[in-house]
Amino acid sequence: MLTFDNVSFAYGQQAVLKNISLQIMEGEFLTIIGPNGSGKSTLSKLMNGLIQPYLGQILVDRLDTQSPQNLKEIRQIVGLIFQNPEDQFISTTVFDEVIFGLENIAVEPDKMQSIAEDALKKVGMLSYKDVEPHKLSGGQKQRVAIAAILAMKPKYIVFDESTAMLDPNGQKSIMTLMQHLHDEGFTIIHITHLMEEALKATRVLVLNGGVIVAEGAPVDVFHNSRVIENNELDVPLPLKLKGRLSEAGIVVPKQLVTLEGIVDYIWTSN
Amino acid sequence: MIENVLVGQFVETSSVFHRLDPRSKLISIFCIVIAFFLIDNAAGYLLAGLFVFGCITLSHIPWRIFLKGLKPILFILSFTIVYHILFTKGENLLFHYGILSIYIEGIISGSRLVVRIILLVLITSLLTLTTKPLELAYGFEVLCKPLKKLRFPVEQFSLMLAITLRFIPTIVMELDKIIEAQKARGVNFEDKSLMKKVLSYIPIIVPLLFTSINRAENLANAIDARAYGDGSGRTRYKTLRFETRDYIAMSISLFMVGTFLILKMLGG
Amino acid sequence: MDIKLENVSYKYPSLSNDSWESIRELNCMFETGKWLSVIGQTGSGKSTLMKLLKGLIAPTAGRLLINGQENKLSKKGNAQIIQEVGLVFQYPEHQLFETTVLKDLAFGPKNQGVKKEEINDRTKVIIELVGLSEAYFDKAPFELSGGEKRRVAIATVLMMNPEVLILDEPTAGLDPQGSKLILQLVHDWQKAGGGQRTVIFVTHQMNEVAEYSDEVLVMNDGEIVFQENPIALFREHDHELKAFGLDIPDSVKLLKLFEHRFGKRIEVHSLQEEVVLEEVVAYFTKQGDDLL
Ligand SMILES: Nc1ncnc2c1ncn2[C@@H]1O[C@H](COP(=O)(O)OP(=O)(O)OP(=O)(O)O)[C@@H](O)[C@H]1O
Ligand SMILES: Nc1ncnc2c1ncn2[C@@H]1O[C@H](COP(=O)(O)OP(=O)(O)OP(=O)(O)O)[C@@H](O)[C@H]1O
Ligand SMILES: [Mg+2]
Ligand SMILES: [Mg+2]
Repeated sequence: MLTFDNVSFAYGQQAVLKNISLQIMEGEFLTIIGPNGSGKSTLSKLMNGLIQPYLGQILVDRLDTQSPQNLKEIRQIVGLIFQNPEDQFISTTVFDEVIFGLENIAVEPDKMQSIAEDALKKVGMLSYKDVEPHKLSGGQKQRVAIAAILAMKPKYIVFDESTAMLDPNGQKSIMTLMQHLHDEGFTIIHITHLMEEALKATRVLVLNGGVIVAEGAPVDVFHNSRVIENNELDVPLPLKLKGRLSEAGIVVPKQLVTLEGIVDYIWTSN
Repeated sequence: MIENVLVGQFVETSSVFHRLDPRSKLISIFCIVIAFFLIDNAAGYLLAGLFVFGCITLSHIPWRIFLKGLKPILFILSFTIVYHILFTKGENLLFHYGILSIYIEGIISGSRLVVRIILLVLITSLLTLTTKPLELAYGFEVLCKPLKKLRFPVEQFSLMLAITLRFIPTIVMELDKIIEAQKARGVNFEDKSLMKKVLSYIPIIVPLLFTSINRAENLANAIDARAYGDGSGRTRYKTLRFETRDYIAMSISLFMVGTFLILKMLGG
Repeated sequence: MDIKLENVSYKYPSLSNDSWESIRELNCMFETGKWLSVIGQTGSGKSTLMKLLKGLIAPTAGRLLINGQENKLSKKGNAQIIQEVGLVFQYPEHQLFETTVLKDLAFGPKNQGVKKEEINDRTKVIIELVGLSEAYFDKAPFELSGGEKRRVAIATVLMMNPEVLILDEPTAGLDPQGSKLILQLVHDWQKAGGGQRTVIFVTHQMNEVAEYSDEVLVMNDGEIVFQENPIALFREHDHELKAFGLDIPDSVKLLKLFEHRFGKRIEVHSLQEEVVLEEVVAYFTKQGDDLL
């Protein structure tokens, strides 16, 4: 379990997160949304001790992120994938990139190859093993970044707008990969500006001005028009459709959140 | 611009140089650089030239690429030669006009220096073009291990080296982008007085600084997030081991030093 | 301003031998007054095409015609910058460098030799157009929020009074409302030009394409594979688009699902979410009545 207990954070004088209390359970698929500058990336960096709160406490499986001797273990437990696929690549080949993390956590050298290959297979990049990063597309680079984290066997994987710079195929393939990983038991924390992506979560958290202003199941959060309007958000089309339908007197069950589901429901109920 | 920067670019051709241990490459290059500084006569230049020619041919990397690497230093080269021609005094006057006198010695010493710089650049390019930055850094780290006793942060320094090499092309690419964007906003980098040219670089420097800092921060985060820590206690996938070819390479380099020493003594 | 490409190819200069043409034998026409969206996978050549249109790079083969006139190369063999084309790069906020917003806005027109009074007049109009106010003039660009910076960066290009505005992924990384604002301001700018202003809009978000486009240009592997009106393109060619690694907007997905389920095709005059929702809901309610 990942616990934020009354956490505040500031860059210099500027308070960025204020009294955040939050628990993330194992096996969750949590999506964090909110306007630019609301503190989402800051929150993600707090999760694996890249930065430290000035108030409050963050526990990763009971390990305090503020004790330096915990950091190596914490970073192995919480993997972080960033937005820009370019800036995450440290090595000159795909395989070396995955190896880098394994070397850092002192894996035995003769086990590295099979671990790295397994991780690359999971993201479908094994055949690119010896390729140099500049020959990969943005989406492929992101998948390598994910493999590099997977190889370290984390429990929690945080994606900070990892689809933002990708084309539709790249976006979809990363989303599918996230869902696979979630099905396999990884805890997924996903930061995004794309509302359709937020629908895939088990829980949505809305951040604005450094405070959590709403949280709950995606349907509930998006049904609350005040939350949408006050936080620079938008309602995904399926929920807009449901809203219009209910105004017209057609009530669609709450759990249906895809266009397919809604259209099928109306078709069968007629 | 990016196509003219060789530092940090790695070209895969699977030549013998690619297979050499990074440590032996570093040691060899070190020897050869020393050897080249010993050259002071025509025979030496000829030998060194042939040696470099041979190495480059063996590397299977097209000459074109090496020549491109010389482009950015063209300015330095022409400056060197002009400086020598104008200011070296000698005995054999070639040309005299007003305060301007040009001696044959000036031309010779200028050309020598230029040839030496070219040879040095070519041979060091060979090192970076055939070695991946992380490998080079690892070789460096192992070679410098003894310095750890003096509390020199060898691991961090070697990572720093690797990252610098890895990111120079990225930063140059960034520079290209910024120049393009400024051109799009009407900046004219061509036909201008020197003063104006210098001023027109301000809109480039500021964004470059910002994006570089930004990138550096992102990269630092990416490295930290992968539990690099302070670089100690890491294991290594590949342990470096000297093979026969490494001993051969180092012997050849030592032999070069010896040859040039002898040549120098014979000449002087 | 009409821009026409005739058999244009472009190959980046490169170190190794394995470089290929990023743009191959393009033939296309950008007509005055239209909103043209450009989509395509990563690396399909969208940004390269935009640089060609601005004259930042010169075609390695083929010709670029502006109002029928060929864009000649400079004496040094470089491309000639096309003044009438404004190009907003990806993450343009990284390009702001002056100490105040006002100075940054004035930078472009000053380079073009526009008079001071004229620049002053323009700044006032443009800052309003991008949804900010004169109160921002004295702020340092670095103090602004992400969305505000992006809008100032777009304003710096609008200041140069282009006839054609090219935006390369202008909404990447912005929150939903921020993205909508950008689309809206570009739309307003185009409307204010009386049919003389062209917009070329590069994006990875199909939903954004559905909002205002008159035409969609689809690129794949350096070639143009479609140049069509969005309704026809997305409704008829969804399979091809998927094969090119692309997708269709949500509004079209809805129309297609509906058609598939109910066997009835709803004709729409626009793919905007609001329009499509209205049509579909109207049909659902009517159908309910029919059945009852
Ligand atoms: N390194 C930094 N130094 C100073 N201030 C920072 C730094 N990083 C972020 N900030 C500020 O902290 C606030 C929150 O930033 P953060 O990056 O967490 O927002 P975000 O929700 O991730 O936004 P976005 O959606 O744009 O990514 C912003 O006001 C930002 O300007
Ligand atoms: N400066 C450059 N030097 C060499 N090759 C380049 C350069 N810029 C782009 N390319 C190559 O040209 C091709 C087209 O790139 P371009 O940037 O135009 O694609 P794009 O469609 O804009 O992609 P994205 O959606 O990722 O922005 C790619 O194969 C790319 O690798
Ligand atoms: Mg962020
Ligand atoms: Mg692009």
